[in-house]
Amino acid sequence: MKCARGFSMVEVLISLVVLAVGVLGLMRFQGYLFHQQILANDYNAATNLAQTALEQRHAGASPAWCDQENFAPPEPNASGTLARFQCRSASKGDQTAVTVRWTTSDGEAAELSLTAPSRLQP
Amino acid sequence: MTHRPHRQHGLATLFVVVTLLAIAALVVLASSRHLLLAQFNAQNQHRYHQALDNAETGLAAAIANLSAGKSLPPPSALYTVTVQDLGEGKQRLISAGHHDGETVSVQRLLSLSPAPPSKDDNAINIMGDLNLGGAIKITGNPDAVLNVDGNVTLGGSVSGISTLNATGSITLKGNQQLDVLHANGDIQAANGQYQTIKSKGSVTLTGNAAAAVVLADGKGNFGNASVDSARLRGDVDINGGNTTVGSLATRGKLSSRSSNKVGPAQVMGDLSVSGWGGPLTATIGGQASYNTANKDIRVTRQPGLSIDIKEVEPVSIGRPVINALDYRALANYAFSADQSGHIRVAVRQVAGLEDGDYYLAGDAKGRRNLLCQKLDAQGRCATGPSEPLCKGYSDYNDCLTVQGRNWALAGVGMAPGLLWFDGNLKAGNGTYYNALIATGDIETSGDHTIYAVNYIGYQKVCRNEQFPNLTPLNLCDTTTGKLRLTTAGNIALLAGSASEGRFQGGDIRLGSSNHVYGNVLAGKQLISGGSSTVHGYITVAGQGLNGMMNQWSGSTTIDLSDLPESFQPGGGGSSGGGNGGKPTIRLLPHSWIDSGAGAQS
Repeated sequence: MKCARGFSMVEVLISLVVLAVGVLGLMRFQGYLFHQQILANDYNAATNLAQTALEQRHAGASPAWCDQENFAPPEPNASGTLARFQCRSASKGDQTAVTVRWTTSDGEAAELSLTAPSRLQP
Repeated sequence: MTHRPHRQHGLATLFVVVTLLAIAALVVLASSRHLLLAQFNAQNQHRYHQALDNAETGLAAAIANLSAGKSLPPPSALYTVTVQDLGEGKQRLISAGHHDGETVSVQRLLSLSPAPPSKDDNAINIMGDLNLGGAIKITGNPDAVLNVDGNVTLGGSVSGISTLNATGSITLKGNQQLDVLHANGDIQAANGQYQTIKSKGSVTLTGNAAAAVVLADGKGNFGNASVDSARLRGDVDINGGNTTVGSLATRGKLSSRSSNKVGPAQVMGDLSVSGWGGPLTATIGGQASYNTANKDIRVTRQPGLSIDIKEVEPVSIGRPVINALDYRALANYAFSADQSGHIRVAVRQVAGLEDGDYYLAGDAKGRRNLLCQKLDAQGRCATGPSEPLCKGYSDYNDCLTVQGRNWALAGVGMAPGLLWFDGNLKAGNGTYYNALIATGDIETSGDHTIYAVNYIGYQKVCRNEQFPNLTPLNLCDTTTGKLRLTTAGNIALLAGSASEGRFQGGDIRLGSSNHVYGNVLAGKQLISGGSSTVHGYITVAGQGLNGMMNQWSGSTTIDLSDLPESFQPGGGGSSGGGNGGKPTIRLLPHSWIDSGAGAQS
């Protein structure tokens, strides 16, 4: 009598369980990475926004972006990616600090700030 | 027959599944590698920008410190600033900004070569009212300015003056020609030609006076004058039949009797044309009254017309205090007379002589003008005579005498340096490389020539052949072979003193045959006996005039041509000299360099 070939039901079930656990873990990790990528992009955009607002002041632009005491869009007509950020500026002595705040794709609040001289010698 | 255990199949299957999962995990990790880099980049970007901004903060602080004559700011957690000397007066500032382990440097090139001296064209400065009956002529500076802190009446003539500033009113009687008249009070010109007239009061032009531009906060009265352009905040009255006015704007009303062309005019108030009138074009905000039969008068009514005419900026003239007492401590030789009438000399900063008090007297052999520390009973030098301080007509003639507090200087010359006299000074014959500073009055006479030390320069002051052992150390830098430039070195004549609010002396009387190379500072007034020439600026402080006018009746020429480089006649009135030790910092354009991340120097 020939031995039975192929997988037994138990083997298939165990394999499926192991595979399911592994794939679910990978999918969760992939989602985490996806959010982190968005966060990195937002971090870059916020840094550039803060630096732009400071350099507008160096160039004498008035009003410059983020020229308000409380968090608000960088400019009244902000749209697209720019509209996702809110910022404010505070001057102390000859220094100006621009703080940018936004909501991450996880729904959490994030914030960064840059400080530079309010005016530069031409 | 051999039976294989079934368990082996299950383990193999599990191994395959786990292997597949591992491969899938590696694929996911590998594909997300760029994400890790993106994370690092995002955080690096923020660190870089903050470090860059900190570097800019350090650079700005360093430039501010250097401009104020201070040292570089000390290293801090935010920035570290260093400087490299590039030679030829150039320096490189390097500011390294730090933030969260990141370091970014920026550079800026500075020029330490002295900037061109600020052009000071204030050739004549007079405090108090001025009545000029004589003549003033300035040559060698087409931008020369006459400043008067008070009212000005010009009955005489002025030439070569570009600008006349007065904190009071200006009244011009003669046929003057000036570029700019600027007054805080009214300006009246009976004749003459002017480029710009600016008044915070009213402007009255009569006779054949002609002005290109008239600006006034008050009224304008134009009688038989010619005005190209006028902007006045007050009413305008064109009261001469031959008056011509070009472009005209007034926030008041306009009345005209002219039969010449007027306008185009903008008038916020009413318009009134007397008689037939001449060609006139106007836009008015009020009512119009004119002969409508005259078709050359074109009036446009625009109710509510508003014309913006800025106020004339006020004249501001600093009022100097001329006080010889301030210069006593600077003088190389300070002369005073003791109760016996002997001449005492306080010597300071002279090579070959210790600082201290000396006598100026003769010796037993009859030689005169010697410095010594003790006198004998006959009033002659008792201890070994030192160098002669000055040269009379011969070794046996006095060069300096005193009667009471009246000094007389006459001879060949004096040891170079700053001379200070307690009392009045009559400076006679001789050629002097000095500043003559007296607490009383100064009168020059005879064949008198005076050179300020900055004017004559190093050779005559520091290497004088007549007085080789009497070098004024505060004026001479013998190591570099250059003069130490001080504002006191610009002075040729300074008279007058003030103590406890009381003024003394201050009159400077210039003889007709004198030659003055340097600045003249009169505490009270300048009296020109005849035709005087001064190669420098004149300041008349009017101290102690008690409301009386400066009377300027003589003829004075100020020759500012071919001035030596060491002589900056507008170099200020303080005695310190220089610009207070502050280096002149000039940022070279386009020299900002981002040295990049991680660069320290």
